[in-house]
Amino acid sequence: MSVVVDGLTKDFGAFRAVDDVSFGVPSGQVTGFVGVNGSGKTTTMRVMLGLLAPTAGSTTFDGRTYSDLPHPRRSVGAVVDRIGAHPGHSARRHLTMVATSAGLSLGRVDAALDEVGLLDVADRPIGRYSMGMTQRCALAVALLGEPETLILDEPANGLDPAGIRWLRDRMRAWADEGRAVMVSSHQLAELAVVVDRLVVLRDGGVVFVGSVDALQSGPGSLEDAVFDLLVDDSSVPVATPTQNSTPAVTS
Amino acid sequence: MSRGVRVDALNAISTPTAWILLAASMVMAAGSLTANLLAFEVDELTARATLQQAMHASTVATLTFSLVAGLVSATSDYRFGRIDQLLLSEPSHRAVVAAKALVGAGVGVIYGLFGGIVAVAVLRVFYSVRDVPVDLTSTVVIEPLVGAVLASALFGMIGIGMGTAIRNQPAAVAGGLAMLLVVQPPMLIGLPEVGRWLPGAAGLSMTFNPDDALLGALQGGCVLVAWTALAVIAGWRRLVALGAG
Repeated sequence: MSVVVDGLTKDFGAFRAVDDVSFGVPSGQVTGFVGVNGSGKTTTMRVMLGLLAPTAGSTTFDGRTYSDLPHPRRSVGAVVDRIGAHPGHSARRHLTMVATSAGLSLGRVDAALDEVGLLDVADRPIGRYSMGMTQRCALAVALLGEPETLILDEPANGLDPAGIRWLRDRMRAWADEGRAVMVSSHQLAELAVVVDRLVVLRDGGVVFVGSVDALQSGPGSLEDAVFDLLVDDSSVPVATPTQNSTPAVTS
Repeated sequence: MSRGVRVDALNAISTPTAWILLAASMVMAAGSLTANLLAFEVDELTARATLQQAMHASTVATLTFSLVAGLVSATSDYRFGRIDQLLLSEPSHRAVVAAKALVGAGVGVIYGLFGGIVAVAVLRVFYSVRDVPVDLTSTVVIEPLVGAVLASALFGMIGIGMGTAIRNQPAAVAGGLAMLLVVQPPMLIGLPEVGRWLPGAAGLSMTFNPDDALLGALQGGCVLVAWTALAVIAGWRRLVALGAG
């Protein structure tokens, strides 16, 4: 499944949070979505998922908007900025409720909890989880429908070093299985070792879309290259669809 | 939408707040009824007006808590981010709000039924202790209870609509209580030609309240249905306009 974001714009009153953003998320690759805090990453992802209405532009998943997908959770798994569970509910109950609301098999609940390593504590209230455990629970929700596309907003927040390594390995594995993986982060070093492509946002607009190799052509690290983009966009040319074959990405 | 109804119902019964509010509504209904009955002399207890006044005091508590339950349920979805998960599973805003409103109505019915059970139990005990006969199957007892169940369902839906529109939990609960208990009662007394058309007064009408300032039960029911539709549509339109936030 390929994801195409085309001319996405989101205004909150007079403030433009996302400004004419276009990029693609191809299958079989991990696409990093980076930018400083407040650059519009979370807003873009929420608009892509239909949680916020766009002011202009569209996001399609194999040609359909999220709301037009016949089984959204089976097509797209998402980690958004809030886990969306009552703190008194256990992870098992939370996943059961999500599976029920999405028409998924309840047999997937324990499988997803097992995949993120929470099966042993599945009946503990989420309010008593550490931040890392809460993030794993959010990932379990994203994996419930065995989706072809994963959209993950800051999934490494709160994970310990072992958890971050685990997440990197899982993202690589998901992409190698043919899934389209989009992951946002403002921790560049963490992303550098796993992403194939990057979308860099600055002040709500895209300042780079393309492969890691295209960005890291100089002697510095990927982190240095992205940092240069974020502080001075005149040093690196803004990527255009002709440079990156986006937004019309094909898998 | 049936999946949405199932999951909202599951959420309602598995959240402690819903049970705490139900218990509080039963305590308040029993307290209001008892306090009203205690205000009368023994020889006044057999009067129809005495029973009417006491019964209507208990229904006010039921309707109030039904509204609060709807408000708390809807605003908790924003407070805990549950609205994100609902919309990721069911992207249709209309289906999400409709499912929540239906469950709000169901919760309201439960509040109405439990309030009725408490009222009948209190009456039975109170009159027995005072050694005064009471007919618990008379219309003066049954009509307010049946009306309260129906009005409570509508108040639950109004709570869902208002909560979905307002989103902020303290503001929604304070606003709902102020509307019902602070703004409307003086309007019904001072400006009855307007006050009788407001949701609180319409709800009281549905419980066959004999107050001359109120509409008839059927007319009040129609007015409350209109208010319910307005609140639910307002919640739905606000969700469409703002998204999950």
